[in-house]
Amino acid sequence: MKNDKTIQDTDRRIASILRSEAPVPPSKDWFTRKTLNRLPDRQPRTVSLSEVVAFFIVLAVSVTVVIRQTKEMLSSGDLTASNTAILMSGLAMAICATLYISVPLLKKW
Amino acid sequence: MTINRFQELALITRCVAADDRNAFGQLVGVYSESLRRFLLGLTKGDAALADDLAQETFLKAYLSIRSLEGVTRFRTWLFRIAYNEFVNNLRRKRKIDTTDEECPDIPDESSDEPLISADTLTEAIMQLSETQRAVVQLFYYEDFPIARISAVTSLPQATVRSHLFRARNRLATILEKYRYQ
Repeated sequence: MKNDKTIQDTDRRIASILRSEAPVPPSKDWFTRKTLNRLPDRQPRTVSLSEVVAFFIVLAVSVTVVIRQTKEMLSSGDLTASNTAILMSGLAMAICATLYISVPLLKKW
Repeated sequence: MTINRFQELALITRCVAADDRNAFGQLVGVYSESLRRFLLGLTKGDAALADDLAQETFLKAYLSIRSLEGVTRFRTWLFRIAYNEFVNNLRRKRKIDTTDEECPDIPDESSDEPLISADTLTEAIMQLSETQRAVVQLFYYEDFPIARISAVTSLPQATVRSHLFRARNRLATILEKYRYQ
């Protein structure tokens, strides 16, 4: 539509002129720093009930995985790559979950 | 400094999950220039007030960042807070200045008379009402589509279009001067 195109052209011209005339805020290198200084003090992270529940679930799963894998490896006598990977993953999961839940508690203490 | 949507989401996630001040500082760095420019236009060039409002905006954004819904663009949400800060500041000033007991709403001071007293488009925009000025700023300076302007100003899209239409007509006289330059 010709009318739409005229309006778009007008808008483009207005936008172009306004941007060239735009008042530029004075350079304030300290603006970000000053804004961050106004933020409230950091609150120590508290552990919620859902996080505690999730922790115990993850711990139970990872302990189960580790125990099963260890039993399988001992009974078969084989140390395959996949057995080792599953064992390591279970251990890693348990360690990460423990760190996630204990670090904020230790910081608070 | 620009970032894409994924980088923005990553920074917001870091702010929400870990209270990462560095991440929030990066968001401030990305958006402070355009936000300050927007507020500078709304406050008619009062740099000190614009900066103060900008800092208040970022402070409020930080305090309520957990309430930001995933589909809402951070930029739109930030500008909405900024616009509300400006409006609240204006209401506070008018409450102090007015002798009436009631706090007046922001009147729409615009008329349909074309502006002829300004030499430049920028001067002409400063003569618009606060609401029209906000709409014009967001549309022409910040390239916001109508829907986002509506989200920022809490105006219906039809009202936003109407403001733009009237502002465009009022700027038309000034625009003619540029045609011959």
